[in-house]
Amino acid sequence: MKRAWIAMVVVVFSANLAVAQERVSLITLDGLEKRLFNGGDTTFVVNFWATWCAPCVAEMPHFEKLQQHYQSKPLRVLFVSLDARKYQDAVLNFVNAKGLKNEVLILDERDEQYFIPQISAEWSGAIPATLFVNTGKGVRIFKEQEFDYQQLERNYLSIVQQNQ
Amino acid sequence: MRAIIVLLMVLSVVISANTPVSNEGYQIGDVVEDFSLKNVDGANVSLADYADAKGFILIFTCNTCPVAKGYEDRIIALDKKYKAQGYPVIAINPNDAGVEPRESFEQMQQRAKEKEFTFPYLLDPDHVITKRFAATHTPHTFLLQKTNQGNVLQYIGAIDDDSRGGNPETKFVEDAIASLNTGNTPNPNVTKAVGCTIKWKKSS
Repeated sequence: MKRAWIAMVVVVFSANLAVAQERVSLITLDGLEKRLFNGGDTTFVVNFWATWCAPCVAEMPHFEKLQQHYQSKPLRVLFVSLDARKYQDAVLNFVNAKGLKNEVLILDERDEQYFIPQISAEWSGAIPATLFVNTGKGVRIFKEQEFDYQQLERNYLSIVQQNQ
Repeated sequence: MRAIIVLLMVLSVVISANTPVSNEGYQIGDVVEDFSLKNVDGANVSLADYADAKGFILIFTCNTCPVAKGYEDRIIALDKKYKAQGYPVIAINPNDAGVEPRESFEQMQQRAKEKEFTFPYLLDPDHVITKRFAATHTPHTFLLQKTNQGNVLQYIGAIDDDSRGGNPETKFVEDAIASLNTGNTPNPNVTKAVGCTIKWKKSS
């Protein structure tokens, strides 16, 4: 009987853990690039942020609004956190506290000399920064800046309206 | 004829007004112009004040950025170790207090006192020196070597390879100084690191 209880607790606990990991999962740069590459006609708006970055947190609602506004379009907004992987729980708590709807990932890369220039040669490493990718159209635009909603929407629409 | 001259003058004004101000700062190998900025103790500090220095560890850092704050103890340790070897730390706050009040001169004084900074912590009103170096984030380090030609920029980038965890494996600035001390140029001489964007003054 006791053993059954333990088994049940373990099952419930690991199920919760799985949900947590699903909500904020780790992704390598390679994994991220594959996903962007295989996205077909999807426009990805990849926002690089961290829980400690005040201007990043401030602009998050604009990225939420963009995804909601273009829900029926092939648009995918990804929040990619640069918090160290040991802060996965803190990121999850942050996501829950803010009630974020967009997909949240943690970039599972330690070597900044590798991942910063790979994402963009234009990137100094400062955040917030945002990458716009549409593989179908061959578009990859990087912006090291803060966005308001109008600027963000304009950038997204300029990609959508581009001819192949 | 006069009309043409006037037209040319107008045109040249229009052209120069439209030419974007280059944000290209000093490059590796460039001689850096000296500056005079106000320190938290009220006195101005220049590179020329350091007659015996072999060079400088110039770091753009601030009061509020968590990455910069995470580096404070390492910056203090750098100064303690390298001041004696001729490479003192000089910290400059590139942020505008109008945009972020916690970056005010008073709060810089307080931060320097709390953390017992052993190095100057300078104010850069209107980002004049920040723009000269094209610093983009905090913390952002520029290693200078004093030569007969002047202070030459030898390294730009991160202090070490762990901006987020505080557990570095490679200490870029220390390695760069070691290279200079043996007569070599640093390799790498440019590195990237995650940091906080500079709080630029809002144009009025």
